[in-house]
Amino acid sequence: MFAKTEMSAAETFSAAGRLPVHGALALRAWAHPAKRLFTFLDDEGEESGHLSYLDLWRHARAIGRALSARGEAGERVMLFFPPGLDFIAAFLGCLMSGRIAVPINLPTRRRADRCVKIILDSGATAAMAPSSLIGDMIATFAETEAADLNWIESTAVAADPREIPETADAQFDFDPNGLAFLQYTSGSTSSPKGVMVSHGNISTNLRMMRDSWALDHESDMVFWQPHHHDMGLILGQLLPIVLGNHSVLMAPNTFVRQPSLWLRAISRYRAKLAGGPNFAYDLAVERYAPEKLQGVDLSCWDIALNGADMVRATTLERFHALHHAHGFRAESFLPCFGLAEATLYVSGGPRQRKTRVVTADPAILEQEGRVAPPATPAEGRQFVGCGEPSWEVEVAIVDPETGRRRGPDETGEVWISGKSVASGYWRNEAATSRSLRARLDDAPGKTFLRTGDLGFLGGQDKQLYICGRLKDLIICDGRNLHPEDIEYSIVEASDALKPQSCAVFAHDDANEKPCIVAAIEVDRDLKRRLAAEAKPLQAAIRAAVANDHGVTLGRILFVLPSNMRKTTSGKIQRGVMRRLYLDGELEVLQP
Amino acid sequence: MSGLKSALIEQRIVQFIHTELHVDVDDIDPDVYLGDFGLGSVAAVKLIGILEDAFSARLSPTLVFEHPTIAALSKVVEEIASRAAAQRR
Repeated sequence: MFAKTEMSAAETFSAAGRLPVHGALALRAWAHPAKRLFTFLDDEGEESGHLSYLDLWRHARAIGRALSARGEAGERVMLFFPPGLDFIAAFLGCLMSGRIAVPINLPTRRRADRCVKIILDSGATAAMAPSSLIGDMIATFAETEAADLNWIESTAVAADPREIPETADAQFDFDPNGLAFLQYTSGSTSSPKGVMVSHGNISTNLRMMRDSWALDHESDMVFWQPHHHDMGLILGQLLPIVLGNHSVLMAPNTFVRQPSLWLRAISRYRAKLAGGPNFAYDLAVERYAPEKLQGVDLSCWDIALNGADMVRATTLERFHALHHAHGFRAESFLPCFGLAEATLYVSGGPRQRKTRVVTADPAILEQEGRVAPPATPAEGRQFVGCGEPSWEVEVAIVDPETGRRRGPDETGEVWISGKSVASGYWRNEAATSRSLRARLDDAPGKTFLRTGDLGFLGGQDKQLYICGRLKDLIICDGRNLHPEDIEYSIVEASDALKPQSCAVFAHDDANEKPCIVAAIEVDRDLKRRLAAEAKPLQAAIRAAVANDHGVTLGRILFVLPSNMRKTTSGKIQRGVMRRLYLDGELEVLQP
Repeated sequence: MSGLKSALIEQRIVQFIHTELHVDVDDIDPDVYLGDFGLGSVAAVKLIGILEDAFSARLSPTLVFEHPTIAALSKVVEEIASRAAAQRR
């Protein structure tokens, strides 16, 4: 047992912010074993499971023991779990036994390729799944290159009902550089990239969120984000452990089907912290029905996070207009910025401030990289401030061409340095040195993460503003999509007609929602058959993109080879195609 | 009566495909697979939620995969909705 009879609340708070997250769990399982940590809600919004601090520690401990009994420390373990409370015990069991967890989205019925690529890239030899899923999973991978994974049925591992944590379990002398898990949300399908997140990265990032937003053991939360995504994992499942709060989780589908169940849960459990990508607030507005929110009181909701998508001022206004009648306060909005390469969180807050919105002249912004008021308000582009960076990181705005710092209110690439930035991409030295080892002349010895996002720091308000992406990455429903992946699906969509090439890009439609456009190259053969076959081809393309990527193509255009812009080496110039299309200068064939 | 309800459900699905997936109403054939209109997994769950609200029934998101055309989906939603209505009576 700990060499103390008790710890003060301040001691527990301080220790939990420094320990590795599985150590923080041991500490809290000792300090308040019976306190409820997680409640899971089913698709009707009713409680279907829960875990106390001690329950979770015992489960994780038993899984850690089962892992230690086979294989060796440092091996990668794939985690295949549906939404629910089984995942977190398996994840923490990996950390306790020195295994490297690899959380991953479940393979879709027809496609396992993305999972197989990730399994091969990580070099995983073992995988865990709950009893309800393990048969399906083994069958899914049976005919693939990942057939020889060593499967462990996590829910069959019995916890010891007498076991309690001891001092050593808090891991006071942990190695902060030790690898905890690989986050595979970066990289395209064909070349996945696993962000190497260390124990030190996690505890730093959790502490940053806790302190920036002034959270503690009374800051209860409601979250529905998937656990294989950085926001769902770090914020939804690990932050509660460090805070010592009660957190209520639900499946992403429950939220998308009935967004009112999310708002009802926030009210019912008096949650102070909840949120999601911008589209979550759009969906709540679109599906708003006052009769479904009868008796709902959102006045408890102090921090309504908005991150992972572009944050839209109009979304926030519409959400507030409908929900202030239910007690929601506009100051609760907390737009934030982060990414998996920085564990999760970079900037957001201070809390309970009016959201900052800057209106900039689009021409001056594009040509001079400078924020200036527009000639007339109607011409301006609005940007929402994504909060002030945590004091534990440095955010630099850098000219991507010269590698020099830009000043306040000047745009450039967002670079980040600090202890929550990952050390590399797993077994990918080229991508690591390109994206995670950037240097500035005036900061010798320091390395920076290049985010690929374009932004500026507000001169007056010190907030970080995001203007878009430097590269062609498409952001839709809080997910990053690589245009080359969608282009591949399009070219392969029909066996009869294979276009030579295509360019996929996105723009905001009149409602500020992302619209994905595919410009497809039509050669002579295809042109001849287009009148008859355009409709079935379009249907096949839409189906393939929806199946492979879960998103909808907004428009499909057919373009002559002479109008497809390519570099001399034959690479599609998506940015040029996009500009021509938006300016109405792209010549399109009418089938 | 039941044919009328089923037609209303079809109409609501067509409207969803039109606004959400940007497909012309004239191009929406009720016997074509929903996936061919570009209905992805998130949009499918959203559609189910909208049908739940419009026709007062509890629907499973897997219905879209089990009954993957507008005609088939409308029919099964109609059956579930009239069963639910009978129980409420």
